[in-house]
Amino acid sequence: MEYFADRDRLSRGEATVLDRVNGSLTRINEHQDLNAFLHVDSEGSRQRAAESDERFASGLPRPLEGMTLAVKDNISVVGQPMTCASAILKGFRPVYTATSVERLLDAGAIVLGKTNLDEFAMGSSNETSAFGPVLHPIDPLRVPGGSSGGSAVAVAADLCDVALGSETGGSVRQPAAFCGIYGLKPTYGRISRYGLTAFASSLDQIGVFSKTVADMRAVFDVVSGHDPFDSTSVVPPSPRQRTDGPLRIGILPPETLAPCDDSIRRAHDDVVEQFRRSGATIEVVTIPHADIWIPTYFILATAEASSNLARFDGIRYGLRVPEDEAEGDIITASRTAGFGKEVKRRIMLGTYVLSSGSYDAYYRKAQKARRLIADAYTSIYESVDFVVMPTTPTTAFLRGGITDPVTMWLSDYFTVSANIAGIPALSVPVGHDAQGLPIGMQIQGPMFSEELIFDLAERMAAQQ
Amino acid sequence: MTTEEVRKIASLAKLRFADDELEDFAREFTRIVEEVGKITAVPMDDVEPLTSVNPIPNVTRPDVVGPTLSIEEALGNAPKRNEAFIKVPKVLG
Repeated sequence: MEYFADRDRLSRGEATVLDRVNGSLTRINEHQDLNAFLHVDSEGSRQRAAESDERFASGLPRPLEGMTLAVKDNISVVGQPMTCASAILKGFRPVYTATSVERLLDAGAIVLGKTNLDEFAMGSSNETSAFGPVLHPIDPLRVPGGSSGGSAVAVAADLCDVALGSETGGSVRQPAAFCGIYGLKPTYGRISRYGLTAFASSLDQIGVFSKTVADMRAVFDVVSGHDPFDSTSVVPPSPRQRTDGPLRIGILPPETLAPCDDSIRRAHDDVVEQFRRSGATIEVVTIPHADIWIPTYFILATAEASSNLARFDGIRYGLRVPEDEAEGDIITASRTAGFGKEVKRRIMLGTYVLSSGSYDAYYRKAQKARRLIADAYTSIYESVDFVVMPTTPTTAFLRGGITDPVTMWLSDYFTVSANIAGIPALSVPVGHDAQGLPIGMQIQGPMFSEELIFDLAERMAAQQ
Repeated sequence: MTTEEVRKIASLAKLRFADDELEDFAREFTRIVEEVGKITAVPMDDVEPLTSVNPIPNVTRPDVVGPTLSIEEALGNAPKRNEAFIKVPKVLG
């Protein structure tokens, strides 16, 4: 669904928000097999829809009046449960609403419900959810990507207009690419993380899924900006302007693109050729140490996760294994019973790389690699406006097709460097492979360049 | 990575692996540590570690009391409680 495609009709009274919301609720119900939603707020959504219709009738609609929104279930919304797709949070009721959601509600959006994800956003296929996998909207045997798989599918299958997800290493862009929609990972600090369950705080960002750039831009305008409740949220130093002259596009050298499937490689080359034909200059750029992007990311992310997830102790909220049943202490018993395999794996790795004897060899080293990667991007953006590369090495893979955790981690190959460096990146749908599965390319820009990235994505959409 | 080492890290992480899981996990964990260990081969002696991509000075606010959660809200999710307290098993003898 596309909100701004319908907005004029809503303004003129030719369509109603209530009809749109009822249509969404019907589709959500018909597509329960996709397992995209963990909770649906039908009653509340209809109530809000009626209010939106009144505002349209009175001629005073807010900027996103009646826009239908799905929210990843690791972002808190008062009045709806939050599980993070983990057994350890079953029955948890958030006591405050995330700033991003609060801003969207204030602008008139309607939260239809909460979407499925990999447990605590740890996964690339949505198979680690304690509530079952999310199915790919085109081929039910395939994965929709992860960790924000439910949000991606909700948008791709027309169950809502837009959705919020979260990114730590590609969890919005990768499922957006797999499902054929837009997925934004903003500059670190541009959207408040208040109300987002922390995974790796120095990498986490809330992101947006949409079917059009217009919807994406409008949502981003509303949710971005400083929030006193998140001291890492920032006001951009100054709006970035495009430099005069031809567009300058950076691309990766062939050896860095080597992990790509043929279909992805062809789509990449076509996009580059299109830029070239439209007058852009193409320059090969190097982000160093491609072989250690994934190690760097997993060391940093799991180290932070092991400390962030220490809060799940079975004492203050969530699952508690009763003392008469616990083997040993209730904290260990509750965590052992409540966390799934992938979450335990990552907590273990994080604990290991932070333990004395490993700290310097792994964690400190990863922080050094982080500087090399961030510095490389800074110097790259002195000579190019954007870097364009595939979002994923493959299209959507078969559910159960990757059983080795390390192989699964490697599917984040193209996405993690943007999180490591903090820069914004947008996955753009650019076509399909021979089996009809969507392909995504990402536009990566310098810090705070989201608006310019949207401009470029609009130009690309116009050319298709 | 030996099963003993895995057991030690698990106890630091407040997790437990059953004896029959331990060997499989140790094997898998060895492979994971090998993969991330690729980083140790890259020389980076002169590089300053980067902890945050947008370094922000310490943020403070005026020391004024604002709205807070009620006891009911704050304790509503506790698995076991007693009036204004969360109940836990006795820790001290």
